[in-house]
Amino acid sequence: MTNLDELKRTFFEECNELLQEIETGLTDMREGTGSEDTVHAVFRGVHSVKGGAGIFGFELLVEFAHVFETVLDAVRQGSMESTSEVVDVLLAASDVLSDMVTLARAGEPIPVELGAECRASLERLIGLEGGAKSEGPAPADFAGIDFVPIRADDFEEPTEELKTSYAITFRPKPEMLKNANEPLYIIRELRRLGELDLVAETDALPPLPELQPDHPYIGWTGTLRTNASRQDIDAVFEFVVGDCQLEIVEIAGASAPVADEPIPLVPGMEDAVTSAVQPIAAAISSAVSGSARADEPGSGRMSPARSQHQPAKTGVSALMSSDAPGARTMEAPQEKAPERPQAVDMFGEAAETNTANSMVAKPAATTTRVDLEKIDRVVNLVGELVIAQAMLGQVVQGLPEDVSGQLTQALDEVIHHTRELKDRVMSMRAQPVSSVFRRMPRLVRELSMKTAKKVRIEMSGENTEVDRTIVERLSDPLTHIIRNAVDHGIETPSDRLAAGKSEEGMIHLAADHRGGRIVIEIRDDGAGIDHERVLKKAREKGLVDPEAQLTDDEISNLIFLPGFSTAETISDISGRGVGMDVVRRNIQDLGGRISLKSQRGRGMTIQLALPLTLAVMDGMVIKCGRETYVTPMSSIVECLRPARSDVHKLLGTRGMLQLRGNLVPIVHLGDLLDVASEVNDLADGVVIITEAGEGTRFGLVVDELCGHQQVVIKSIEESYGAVPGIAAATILGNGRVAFILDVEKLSDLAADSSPQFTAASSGAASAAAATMN
Amino acid sequence: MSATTELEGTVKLPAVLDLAAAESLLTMFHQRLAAGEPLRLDASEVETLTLPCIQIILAAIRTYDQVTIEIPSIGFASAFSDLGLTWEQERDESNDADKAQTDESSMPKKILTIDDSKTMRDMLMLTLAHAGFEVLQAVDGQDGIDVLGDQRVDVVITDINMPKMDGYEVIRCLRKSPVHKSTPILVLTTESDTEKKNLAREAGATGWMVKPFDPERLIATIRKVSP
Repeated sequence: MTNLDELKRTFFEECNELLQEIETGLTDMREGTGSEDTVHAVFRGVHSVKGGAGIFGFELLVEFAHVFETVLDAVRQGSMESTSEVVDVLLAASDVLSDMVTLARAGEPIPVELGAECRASLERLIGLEGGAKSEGPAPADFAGIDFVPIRADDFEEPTEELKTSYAITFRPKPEMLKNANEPLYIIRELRRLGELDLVAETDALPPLPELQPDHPYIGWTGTLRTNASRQDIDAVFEFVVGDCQLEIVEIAGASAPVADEPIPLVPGMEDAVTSAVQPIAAAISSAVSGSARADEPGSGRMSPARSQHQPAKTGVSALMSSDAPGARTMEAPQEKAPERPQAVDMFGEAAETNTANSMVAKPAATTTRVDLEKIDRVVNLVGELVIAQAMLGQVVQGLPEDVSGQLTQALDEVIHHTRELKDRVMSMRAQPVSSVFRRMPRLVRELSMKTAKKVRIEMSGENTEVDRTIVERLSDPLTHIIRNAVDHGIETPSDRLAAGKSEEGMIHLAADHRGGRIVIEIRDDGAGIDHERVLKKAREKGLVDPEAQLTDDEISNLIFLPGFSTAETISDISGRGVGMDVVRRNIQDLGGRISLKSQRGRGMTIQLALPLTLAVMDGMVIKCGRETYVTPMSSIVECLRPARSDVHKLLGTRGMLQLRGNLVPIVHLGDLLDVASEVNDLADGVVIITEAGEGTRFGLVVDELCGHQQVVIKSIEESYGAVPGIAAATILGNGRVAFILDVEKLSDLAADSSPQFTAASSGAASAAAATMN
Repeated sequence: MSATTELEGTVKLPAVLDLAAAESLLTMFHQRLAAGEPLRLDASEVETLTLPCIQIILAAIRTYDQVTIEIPSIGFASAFSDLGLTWEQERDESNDADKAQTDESSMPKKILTIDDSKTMRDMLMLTLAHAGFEVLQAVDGQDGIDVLGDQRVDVVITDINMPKMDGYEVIRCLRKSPVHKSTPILVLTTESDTEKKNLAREAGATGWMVKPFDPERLIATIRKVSP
């Protein structure tokens, strides 16, 4: 079963690739940028999905793919023009196909009505365009003249009475030999069905000098007594029907005794048989050593074939029982890791040897599939190496200088190589963001249809690579943002025209590497954020102090607050206002930041800045009391030792720090984590100004900064569970475990412990300052 | 029948006498028989013998009476008997009853599968390897031709719709090669058009199967075209 599960997994993985190829191809066709090859590629894609789906018995999927493919074939053959209407239907069909694959993958039944409308449009296309080939969708259409299914069961040959007799005439034509169909094998096949008396017609055989080696001269007539059905007999000749003269006539319905055979045997043949067997058998046993086979004529002939049957049969039953349970088990690993599982070469050594054999004449392959787990393991090992190296560094530092000198040199070398190794390994796990980006055009298409808006999506930087763990988790936030953009951002065509914009709205999706992070930008040219409305709403919901004066940017960022929804009507597209705060949380979980800029009437830009990997990060090692923590460098704005005069008291807080004209609330890390800090006077400690996203800053007071270090991220959630304020753990050079702080969560914790904090930190600093003065 | 091994005029027939071997067998006969010398054919090592070579041997025996067969192997004898033929024209030696299986060599049959879908390749591999075949894989038509080179395989199974080189072209290409011109080629595709079937047949395909395949049927079909 494992094999089958893996095979299924391979299939779905392949489907993902194919579906994306299909969509990309169709999009290119629609924009007129496709080449002649594009439609062929799309056709092959659909064709392959259909083929694979057939194996696993996803019938509706196969049927739909078939109609889809038929239309594509017409386009491919040039009998249908790829007008934008046609391509639109094809695009819709690719969406349906994708839905069906998703359902099949989840092990859920595909509802019959799914894609019915689209299928009807496809069928209309074939009908309209006069393509006469709206053949039945049945994939297993064996009705072709030369194609009769062999029922393998009938090979289990009866030894009892042979009921029916057929007169058979069989004269091969030259085409038969040219197509490598061998008359001998066909006749042997026929003999397997029962008793065959055969007379060869050799009169046409020319003298040797005139003989052509690839021309059949011999024909046969004979009688077959068999219990096999007519279908089985036809099946023997299935590949040669057009390539020979063939007559099969039933001559006796009831069990016909041998003596009644109307077709005469060659005179004297019966006697000849007996006399011939012996000398031949003698010759055989002298010629072939250990030829046990000669001793078991007749029935012995069937046994190898039969024994082959058994394993094949178990294979089949394994396949047949592969529906729901198989699909379910696939889901479990899905959640943890890959949403597009990387293929594992299931055939292990067998496949390797074969590849080795088959690749001899080929240039070496430039890519190889590696099990993802293996790479993850290497990534982990590199992490361990980084830790071990840090430990070594500490040991070396503690040594007397005359010893440490040389060691330090060697260690530097090691550090250099470790870093390089880490980068290389990480790049192996990197994936272009295109795998997520490519899903967006469909989303936009569907949304614009539902909302009756005209929206176009443009993408750039799809090939920007980032660790696949991040790519996988980008999908939800991106989907949400784009939904919001279409639903709330882009105006209706009439509104747009009235505003002097083009009818069609535009969403630009871009990815780029910037300063060791990946920045993803989602820009639309819609209406932007209505600040008045947002502020009004936020006040109504008590999310913001009624008195607070907020800047435009601060107001824009209010949409990230939990429970905020501005849509006048809750639509089924953007949901119920759980949107943007969840998006923000998702991005923060990835160690990223989200920021937003909006211009009323001109559009909105959301920027996501994400780390390139989740395995290793740059951190600041800090101390609080006797505990050591790591703060992600990405959330540190600056570190300072404030003068006492810069700290102002504010009721309900531990104080506000005046920083270049702004007031920043102060939070003691020790308070939040319930650790006894050794610093009571702020001036003795260090304040880390952190930014928790949406422009919220606060000063985190710690005892000491110990230095900047690359740390390996070790999840504690898996083994322990989530701890508020702690993102993960790492192992330091001295071998001790240190927690990595979750600055975002710390900010929330601080807000919980002091109600004033929210107002103060959510940008109302100026308001607070006003109160103070 | 006298066992002669070292005598002048004895020719040992090769193990495989199929369509591909027919040309050279015929040439050899022409050369030997033109001289008018007696020709003894040592058939002790013949394992595979198919119609084209049977016709040549039969025609040689009929045309020149100095041609004799010595020590016929099981494979040799059963090929004649299965076709209802006998090589001993004048003698009363004919046979039928012996249904001894043709020597099934211990070497597993080698099959090349050409398909651009990994699922399909894996599926074929699973099915064929399970049934004891040795399987070579190729990812498209061009790859198939490259992988094969001059290597002999027992059966080629190819898809039709593939990038780089489609199945028809693969068949045509293989049929042109002296090594592969008599290799059975099965087309395995989702297409079931009669038109396309005929196209494949014209190209030289041995048989046509429609995906999805039934593993048992596939094995049966393979054994049918290459027992």
